[in-house]
Amino acid sequence: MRPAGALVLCGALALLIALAPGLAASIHAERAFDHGDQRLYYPDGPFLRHARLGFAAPVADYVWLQAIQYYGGFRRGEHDLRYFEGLIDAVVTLDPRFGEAYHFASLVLSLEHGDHHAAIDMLKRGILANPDDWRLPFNVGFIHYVFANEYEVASRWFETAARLPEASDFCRRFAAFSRQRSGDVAGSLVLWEHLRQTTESADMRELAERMIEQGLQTLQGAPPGGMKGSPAPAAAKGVR
Amino acid sequence: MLTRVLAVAHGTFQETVRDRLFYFVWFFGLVLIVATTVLSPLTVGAQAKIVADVGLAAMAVFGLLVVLLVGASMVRKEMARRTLVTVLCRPLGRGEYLVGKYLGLASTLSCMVVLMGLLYVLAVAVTPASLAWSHLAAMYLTLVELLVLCAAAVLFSTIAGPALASALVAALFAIGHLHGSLQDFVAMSGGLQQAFAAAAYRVLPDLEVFNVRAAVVHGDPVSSQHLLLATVYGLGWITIYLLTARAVFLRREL
Repeated sequence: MRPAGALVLCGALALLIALAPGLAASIHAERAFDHGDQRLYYPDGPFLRHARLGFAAPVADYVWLQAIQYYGGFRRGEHDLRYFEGLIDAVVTLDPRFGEAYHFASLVLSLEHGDHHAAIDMLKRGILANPDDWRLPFNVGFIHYVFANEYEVASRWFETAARLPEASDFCRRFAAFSRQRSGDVAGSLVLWEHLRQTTESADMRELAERMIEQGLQTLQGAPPGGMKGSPAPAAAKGVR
Repeated sequence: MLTRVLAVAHGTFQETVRDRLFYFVWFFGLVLIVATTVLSPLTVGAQAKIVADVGLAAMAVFGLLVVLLVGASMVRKEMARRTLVTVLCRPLGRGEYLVGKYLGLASTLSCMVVLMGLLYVLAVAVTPASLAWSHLAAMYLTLVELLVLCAAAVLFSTIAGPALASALVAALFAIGHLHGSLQDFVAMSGGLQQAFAAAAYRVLPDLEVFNVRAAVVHGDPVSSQHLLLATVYGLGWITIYLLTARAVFLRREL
């Protein structure tokens, strides 16, 4: 091929490649497809479990990424969370030992749906599959403590978590903390601070920061000495 | 006899190298790089798990692709080219030829799994996960599973064309991993369906025996007894497939 011909060919190919993404985007826009509809027909966990063909864990990872993307779409205001539970159910049915999925789902169910019972049920399901994972009972205590203000129940869960292998010291501290039935805002600040420091999710960190800000505003508005129990900074120092 | 079998095996191995089958190893490396760099920011605390899951699964998938693309057409291709007649004119038994072909492809698969295993170790090393011996056990059992499928591919290659043989190996892989569901189906169904399902349950290998990938990613150990029994189970099926292949091939008109 002559140099001029090769140049024309390269130019044409470059032009086509440059135009392709725009063309694909316009096809998507033309179709006006609602991705929510797609999730309506998402296969449930038991079906996926039979269809896994030896690849349950990577399929669970794939659905997990879908669930994260879905939550991201919700945070961007693109849709609600109606299919979130279905996606998480598929993840934990395929891989019942996927600890992160239980943690994340329980937080989303508590914070975004306000459904603390569903969040606790999700964590209990996780405990059945992962009886040695101290983080799961700890998070049950977390929800009882922060959202339901059931300090006694919370302390029992923190103590359960503290008894498990490799449990962090702060399980015991939180057990004692909640047993004192100290000021709930200060206590929740400690828990939020811990979440903010340990989570790897930017969304969760942002949420924790939002809750910390709200908690601090509440504390500033409260009368001096109005909060019972240990002050937040002392407890937070203990966690750190 | 061993020299003749090894000569065929060596030729088959060289053929797979010439066919650039080891490019699959580079694809595997690419998959791992994507899993560690591109997917990691999206994984929300599950990076180590996802890299390990993807790595071990990709190893099985690429190995299966080699069995489907090469193993399933191995014998039939030489029959079509008439090179088989030339080979069998020499003092080489049909059974020896089949075993040689099998060992050649088995060597290729073993080399591939070892190379992919090295890349996997490198990929896991850059994640927060710790590499345990059980990961090596998972790779070993994946290799045994691939060797069983390779023997099945040799059998199907003697009785069917490449497309049908590939489909049969793929079906065997699927049913092998649905063995538990097949057992449920036997319990639920009745009549002819039940008899058919029960027969399938008995005559097809349970490939889930070799699947410890999810367990090792979650830190479960694999016992030496499991490794030993799975190896014996795998060798049993390899022997069954190769003996059946020999029996079919001896009666085949070339």
